[in-house]
Amino acid sequence: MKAIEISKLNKTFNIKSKMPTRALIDFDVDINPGEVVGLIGPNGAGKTTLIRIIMGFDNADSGSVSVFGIDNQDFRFKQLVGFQSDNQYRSKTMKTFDFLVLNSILAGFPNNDEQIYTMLEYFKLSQAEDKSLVSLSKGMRQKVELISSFIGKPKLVVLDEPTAALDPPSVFELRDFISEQKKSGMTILFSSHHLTEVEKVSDRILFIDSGELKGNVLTSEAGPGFIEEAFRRYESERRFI
Amino acid sequence: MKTQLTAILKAEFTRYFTLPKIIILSVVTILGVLVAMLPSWLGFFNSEAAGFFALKDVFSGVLKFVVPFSIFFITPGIIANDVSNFWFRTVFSRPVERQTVLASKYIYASLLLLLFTIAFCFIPLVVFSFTAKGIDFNLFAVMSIWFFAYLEGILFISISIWFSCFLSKFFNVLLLAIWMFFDSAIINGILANFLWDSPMLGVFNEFFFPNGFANAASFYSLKDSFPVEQFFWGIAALTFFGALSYLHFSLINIDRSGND
Repeated sequence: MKAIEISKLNKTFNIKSKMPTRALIDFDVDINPGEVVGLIGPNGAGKTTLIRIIMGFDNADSGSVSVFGIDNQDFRFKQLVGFQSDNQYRSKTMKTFDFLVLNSILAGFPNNDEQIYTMLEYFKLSQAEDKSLVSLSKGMRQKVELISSFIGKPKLVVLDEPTAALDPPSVFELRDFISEQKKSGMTILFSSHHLTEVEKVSDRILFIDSGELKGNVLTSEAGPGFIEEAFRRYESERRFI
Repeated sequence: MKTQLTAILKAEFTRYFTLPKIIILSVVTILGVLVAMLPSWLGFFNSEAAGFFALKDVFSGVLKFVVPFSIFFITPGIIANDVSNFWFRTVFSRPVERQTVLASKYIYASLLLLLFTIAFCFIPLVVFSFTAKGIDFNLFAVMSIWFFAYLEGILFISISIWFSCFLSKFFNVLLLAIWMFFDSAIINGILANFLWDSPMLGVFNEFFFPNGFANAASFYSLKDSFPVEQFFWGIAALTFFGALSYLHFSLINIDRSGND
């Protein structure tokens, strides 16, 4: 059984306008259990749209997505999934720890304080547990989102731009954390513009542009610095590999 | 589902009660109590103008003002805000059913309405009844009128939730105000007279500008008997708008962020 099975996915925005935007075109890809997959591509390539459709936040015009054999229209697939968003919810009155407890309860783990404390400590956020979400910096808030996505040991974690607001030490922490989770068999799909990090962490890289899958490369078969080289080649020749 | 519902409800109240809102709620409650004591302080009950009157009539009059005021304070943007501030994305990235979240919205808004009617209405009127002379404090009648007015409030909550599925907070408030204006007894009476020869339009009017529960409260206040017809018109309207809010909530796009 595949961790994620995406078949013939199509999505067009502003369909009634004179200039409709085709965000995904016959997008087909499978992700195996235990794989760490990096999703890269230029701005507006369709990465976030793909993630939103996988998570069931938006509907595709056609095609299907299943997660560990469960269709993504069935909300129960989310019992297996953790998700970190690039846009963050902020509240003046909700504290960091309470937010994580809420996420844990909703994920089906009501008595999970120990894991929350451990992860707060790992990501050096222990001092922020009693602070309101709105008082945290963007980077700290992103770490909170990351922690919430790993709460309850999900089988698949989907991360949308997880390193976007992080400082270098936090990026290293996240990289180490992902490597640890990978050992326990967790599947991770993440989008990023940080090519070095993607190359270091991923087993496989998906390159997407104009809604189409332009490259699907195993990092074990490519040398160091491969992604940057391939990206540059794509800019001039419109060919990833 | 029960654990999720409880957790979401707790979060809703945590999110709602910011310091300014707590201050406003407290100040309005204190003002209400002071206004309730005003007739006694001014010596109104010692004058010849003071007569015998029923507290339920005062209560009915105050509720007509407090319930719409509370709805405007509680419900605008109840759905739209949670889409734009990414709260729904947080909740729906978990295995949570939409009906659980919708149920939490109804319960949370209804409990807030209950709190508001207690704070702005019941407490001042209890104070009033202790300071006033020559009043008929029939608790059952007061509770019955409260019950009908509360149901009217829940009806407006369902209408506001429905609006908020497709309107921003500003337009939610605007349309709700227009709706309440047409729903008010005078305008609704004019509308009913205008549509008297068309049964279909009459039914349309009863459904889209429903004031069954408000009529039930007025009827009970005047006649002291259970307003069966008005009550069931209210229930029909509540079911209708509850169904509309459920339908639209199950269809809304919970993530309206841009494409990348």
